[in-house]
Amino acid sequence: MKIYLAILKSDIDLEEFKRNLKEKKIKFLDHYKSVGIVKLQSEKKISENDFKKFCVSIEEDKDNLTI
Amino acid sequence: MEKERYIVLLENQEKKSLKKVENELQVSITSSEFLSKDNRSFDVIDNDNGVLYKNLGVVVVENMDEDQLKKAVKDDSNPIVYFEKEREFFPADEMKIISELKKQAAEISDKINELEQYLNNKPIPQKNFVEMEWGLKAVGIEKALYTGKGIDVCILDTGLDMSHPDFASREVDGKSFIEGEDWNKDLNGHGTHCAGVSAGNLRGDTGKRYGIAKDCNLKIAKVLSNKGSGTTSSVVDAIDWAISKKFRVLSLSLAAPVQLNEKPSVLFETVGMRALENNCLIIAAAGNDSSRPSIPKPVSAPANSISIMAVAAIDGQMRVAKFSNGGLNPSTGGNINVCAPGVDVFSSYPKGIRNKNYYFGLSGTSMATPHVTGLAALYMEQFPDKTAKEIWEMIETNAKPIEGLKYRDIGSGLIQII
Repeated sequence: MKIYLAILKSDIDLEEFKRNLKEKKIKFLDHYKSVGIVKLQSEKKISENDFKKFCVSIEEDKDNLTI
Repeated sequence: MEKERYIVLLENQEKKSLKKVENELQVSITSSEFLSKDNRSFDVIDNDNGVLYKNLGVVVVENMDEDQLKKAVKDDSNPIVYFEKEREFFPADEMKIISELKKQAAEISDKINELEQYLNNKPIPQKNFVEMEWGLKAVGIEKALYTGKGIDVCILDTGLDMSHPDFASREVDGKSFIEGEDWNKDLNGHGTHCAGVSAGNLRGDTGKRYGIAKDCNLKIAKVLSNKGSGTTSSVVDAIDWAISKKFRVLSLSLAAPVQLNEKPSVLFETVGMRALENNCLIIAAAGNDSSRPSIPKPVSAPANSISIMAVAAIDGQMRVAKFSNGGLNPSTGGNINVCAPGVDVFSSYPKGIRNKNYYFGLSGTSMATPHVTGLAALYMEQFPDKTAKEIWEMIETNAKPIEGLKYRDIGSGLIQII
């Protein structure tokens, strides 16, 4: 399972986006409303092209931040 | 008609000269040697007669034409060299003098009160008797009139050791974004060190000052594990929390290395932009991947995003720290914005990790970053109407270039108090 962070486009239908995710078996984990980003979880790699209607970009979460 | 007498000074008292004066002024001059108690000067002097005081070379005459006297003075061939109107002298009235002195004293007293009021209301910097860490001196903290009071400053790091005596009695809010680890413990030490530079005050042992914004409202977001690592999602989660809480400054002493020409993350670019839109300034470490002078490395993520302020480190000799990353990817963002002290920086530290007391010296752009965070809090207190973006601009505008160092390595320069 991988974690993804997606930047949402403004004025999208969030419920429609969630339905799309469900269809593709992508789990909606969290919505960071102040920054307009959602956290997703998927076994397969998420394609940005599949969610162009809803997202500006989708990046895989990285565990590379250090002191 | 009131009598007006004139004192006329002569160049000489030769007969010829006296005759000329008599003709011009149309008076007859009597020498003072002919005066007596029966023939006093005031009996003699009138419109047609004057008196010559031989020992003084002065003639006293009455009701003269001033223009005529002026012409005579200007005329070099005329023996009259100077004249003035007779003055009146009065005996000193002691009560009048006292009254005048009282009036002047009252005026001076008013001026003193006015000055006293001005000085009392003026924010005068306290004379500083407190020893300070070199980094605080370098940014001019001894001149600071502000302490960050009322400004919410959030340190996104490894947490804060709340048992540390410098923080134990302070009201600190926090949240952990690391599963199974509390924000109010710091088994790493890095977060406690950074929090100390931004928001600490005086060392409990030596009394030396090591923190910048001692009165800010300190907030802690634990986004790095006790091992000192963390994920993008934890940081984004914490920034979202901080913005929703309306915190004003976020300090990110964390970094992920990037390659030359690597584009900044759209994610962090967006996060930084949304923070600024919400009047929140994100300040991040440029990273410590360089081995200067031969191998400088580019500014790390997330500091390489143009909406996040990037901080480089300098040492006490005003040299770029050998580890400090530089603006090698300027076309895609990735510039350094400012630099701050980041070598041998002493600050608060949990006791017993690497040290015997509650303080420890560390080096890194991680240490430079909270200097800028603390300064931003002081600016925000000083200029409450300025937006986060404006505060950023002010920090850069007031930064001091360092002779011999490049913009690539220190941006606008060493941050300074204003």
